[in-house]
Amino acid sequence: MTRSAVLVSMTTSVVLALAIYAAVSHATGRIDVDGGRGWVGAEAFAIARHGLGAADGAMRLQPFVPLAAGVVSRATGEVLPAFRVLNLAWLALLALAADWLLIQRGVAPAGRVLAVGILAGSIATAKLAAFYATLPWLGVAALVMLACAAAVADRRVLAAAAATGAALAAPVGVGAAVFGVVRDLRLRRSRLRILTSWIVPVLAFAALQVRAFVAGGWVSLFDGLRLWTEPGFVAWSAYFAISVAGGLTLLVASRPATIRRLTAGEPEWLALAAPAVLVTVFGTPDIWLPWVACLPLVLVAFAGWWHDTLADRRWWPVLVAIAFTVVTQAPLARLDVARYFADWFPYRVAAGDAPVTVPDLLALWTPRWLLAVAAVGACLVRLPAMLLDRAGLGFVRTGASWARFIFARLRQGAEQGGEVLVTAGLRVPRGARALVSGLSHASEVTWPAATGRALAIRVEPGARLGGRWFVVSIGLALITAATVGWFITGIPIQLTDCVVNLLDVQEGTVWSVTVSKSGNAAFFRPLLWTALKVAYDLSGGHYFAVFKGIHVVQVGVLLVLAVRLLRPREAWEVALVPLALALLIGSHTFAGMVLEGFPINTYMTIAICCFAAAALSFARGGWWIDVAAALLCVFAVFTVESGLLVWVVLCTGYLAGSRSVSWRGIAMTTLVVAGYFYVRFAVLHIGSPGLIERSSGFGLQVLDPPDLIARFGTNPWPFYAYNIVASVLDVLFAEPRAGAFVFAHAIVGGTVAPWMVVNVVASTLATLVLFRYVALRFRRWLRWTFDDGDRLVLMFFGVLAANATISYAYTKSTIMSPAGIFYALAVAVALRDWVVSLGDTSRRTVARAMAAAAIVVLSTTWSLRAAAIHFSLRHQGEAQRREWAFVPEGPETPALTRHFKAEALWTRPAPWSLDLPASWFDVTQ
Amino acid sequence: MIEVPPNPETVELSVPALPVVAAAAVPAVVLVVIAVVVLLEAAGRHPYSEMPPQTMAEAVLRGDVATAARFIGLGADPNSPSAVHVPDLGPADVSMTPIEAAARGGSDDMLLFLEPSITLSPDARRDLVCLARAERHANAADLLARPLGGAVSCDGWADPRKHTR
Repeated sequence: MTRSAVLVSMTTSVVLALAIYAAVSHATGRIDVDGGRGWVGAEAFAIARHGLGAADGAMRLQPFVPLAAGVVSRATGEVLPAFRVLNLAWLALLALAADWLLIQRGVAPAGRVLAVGILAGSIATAKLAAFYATLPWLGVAALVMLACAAAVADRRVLAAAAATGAALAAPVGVGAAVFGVVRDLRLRRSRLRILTSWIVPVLAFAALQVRAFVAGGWVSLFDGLRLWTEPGFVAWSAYFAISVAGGLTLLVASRPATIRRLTAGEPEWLALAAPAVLVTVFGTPDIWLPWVACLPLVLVAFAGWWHDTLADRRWWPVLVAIAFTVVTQAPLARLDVARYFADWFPYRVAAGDAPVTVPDLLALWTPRWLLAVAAVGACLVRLPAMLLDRAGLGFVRTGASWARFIFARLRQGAEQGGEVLVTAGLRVPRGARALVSGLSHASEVTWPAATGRALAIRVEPGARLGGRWFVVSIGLALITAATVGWFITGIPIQLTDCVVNLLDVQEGTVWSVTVSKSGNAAFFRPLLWTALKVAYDLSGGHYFAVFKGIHVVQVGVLLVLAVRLLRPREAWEVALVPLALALLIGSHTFAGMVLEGFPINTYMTIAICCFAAAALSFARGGWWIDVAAALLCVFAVFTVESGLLVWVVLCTGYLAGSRSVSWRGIAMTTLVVAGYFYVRFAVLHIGSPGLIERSSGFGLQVLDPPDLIARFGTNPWPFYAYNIVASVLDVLFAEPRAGAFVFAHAIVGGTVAPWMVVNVVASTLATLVLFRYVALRFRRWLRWTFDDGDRLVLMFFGVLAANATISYAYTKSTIMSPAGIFYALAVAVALRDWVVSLGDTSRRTVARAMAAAAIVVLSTTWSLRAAAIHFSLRHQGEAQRREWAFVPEGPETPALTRHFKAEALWTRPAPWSLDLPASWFDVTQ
Repeated sequence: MIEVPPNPETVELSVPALPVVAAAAVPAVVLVVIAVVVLLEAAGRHPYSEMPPQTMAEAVLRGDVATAARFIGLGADPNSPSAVHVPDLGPADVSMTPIEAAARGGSDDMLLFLEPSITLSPDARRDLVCLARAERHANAADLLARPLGGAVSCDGWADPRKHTR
């Protein structure tokens, strides 16, 4: 289209939309609550007049539109007219952006007029704004639409600005930024470009969330889930899903294949809807309001529908859509408060959460539900073809089918490497190519010859392809993290090692706390205190929510990184993921990372840093990977001493052939480590922990510092050597524990508990599997040949050695947590190899059956250990609560301490322990 | 260029099912069970949690200091008896004071917690010392005996509740 044609089209759309708005506004009337301001009006007015600081309710997360109204009110003189003027501007912007988007999708003028006309007559846009002017949703719709249209046109500054506005206008508006990021990733744009384009809206959204969170605390997400158990809520959700944008949503809903093709080829449209989908999944009584942010998705799906319909030369659905809009949106019907709730927020009426009662609500709605069902049925004329697709007979009909077809060939070709001819003589849909690109890794698949009628793909030898199973694995990791996280939130803020830390950071600035806490006689951990002080200041008094939230997020990040490092690509590999996760969370070295909060668990922080370092080693390389490695190293080593293991991970990866972190990156991180030692020992003269710091296990007993000094004071080296060896054995065999041979002691004393047997058997068996892998690969390693699995195993041994060495002064299972997490990955790699080897039919059946039995024992014992961590967490909650009961509440007790005691005993008491046989679960960790 | 056969069904890796199932089944079941428990707890049900103590004496018997503190905070008198179920004393609930429950439960923490807020005659204290000894809670007996000064003799003492059964 020429520029003038585009201008004419946009002008037409804007004029059409404003004309419809004028009619709708005149017919609908205005709300009469609070002088026309409505229920949120007081807060919206306060924001408009006094700025963001005046937000104290629901508008905390939606300040952009009231702030814009405040600017306009300087011209209008009054605030309410400013909202009305602004709504005209939002609608014009929405129409303009919608037209722009449809032009880019190749929709003919008639289609654009139809779409804009229907949009302008729908409740989600014009009618709601006309009736209730102070609501922000028309602004949200306009900004999201503009952001998407500009992003598709690659007008990045405009897109980023609109996305920022959208993110500040409503939480679901952040979908525009997510859309941009996912689109850029799919189009393989540089990360720097992606970052610079979308960092502002993401940060704006995050800042708003943090601010609101600090002021108001958490909202329980799960409360809304119960709504889905109510048939009325489900029925209304279904109705609004197909009618929220009038006939447009009906047309889109009538052709699922179009949506499937769209989202398969351009997954960014799904990303746009993700925030709204999340809000919907967790249930909101204002059923359709969040979906306003999904209008661009509806429009592009409509564009797909339009092209398909033109091909079929069927126009009558358009008439159905217009009729459906008129009936369902009732653009010219008058509204009052009763009709407003009965027609648009019926669930609130049914739940008694509205200021009106509607006695015949079901009688009002039953015809509408029937109408919706009939309308969808009338449009489902392509049902037979869809059924054929479902039956597998419509092979290569859609992008998704093509993607499966291509992947099947790639998997076979990957065994040999080289260029694989995927198709010849068949046209590959663009969506399928995009999907394969999106699901593959650029380092593995390139597209040298993706022509119209032939597709050839170059595949690296041994490349591991697949996408959906990886996504499933991430889902498993998140479910596991959610379960652990749930139990973590059952533990009160702990008294020991935590409250004292918080009392220490109450006063002063971040800088002064960091400097004053930079070191004592034995430790140098400045960034630990920085993080603590920042979190404390940001919490705004919501200490439990912030610190437990950080802890839960840490668990999620750790488990997702674990799955990312294992990279399961096939269904059978995904089946092994629960065991891999059990190996991770079931380890006694993991327990200290979740049972305790200081209040930020730095063991967990360092574990995440170590996994992140490994992920950088397996990345695609580039200067930013080197910089990220150096920054990660700085953060880790200046947080706690075991952060030095990040450097070990990076170096081990490099020595094992990974070049994602280049020699420059290794050199930078080495300089960081050298700088750390220089500052610690030469500048600040901070020593190392000696024998007087802690008790430590030795043999069958635990020695206190006086005993240690008496026994090793003159020559501590044998004790240090013992600690290093004990730490290694602790990880590999779960015995000794913290230097003491607990299991052996129990055998001698006849007090062996089932959990002891479980722990030792589980670890020993897993270690044997690992040793098998090492034995089989050792010759290959001597030839300096490694794959990614080998690198993970070698990283484990590198971290194990270094971790044990820095634990020379005293042993504790939690200190070995970095080695413990890599142990889980290494065993998972070894187990994967073992499982594949059992497919060798030349082995005897008895041997294979015995191997399967051993695997059952391994998986069962580790599953018990994984369950034990939940048991321990609940037990820990009760123990912490008990400890708080003894804290005096006199005037000399700090207010913060009294706050935590009240929380532990009264406002947030820990749940009761699990009623399970305790002897099977290790609560000593 | 490698040309591959068109049948996508032929390209699956030959991974044996048995060891995969052996490795996957139990962890998957455990994960599902824990996830279900979490969902139930989020919905307000606690199918695998212990029942919370219903009386002060029950909280004390279980060594649940925090709940005992809650009862006191809600106005419960630490010297008044309340109902508690003690398996050794039969199927029915019995009524006992918190300090007697503490002596039977043997929780050192609980005794330390209750001691400042209870009033006991020397004879009653002696009975509790003997009760703790009879229940084999040596530390608890020592804690209870501390205010009596000298050694406490339990010769001829019998648990009256067990005696009357």
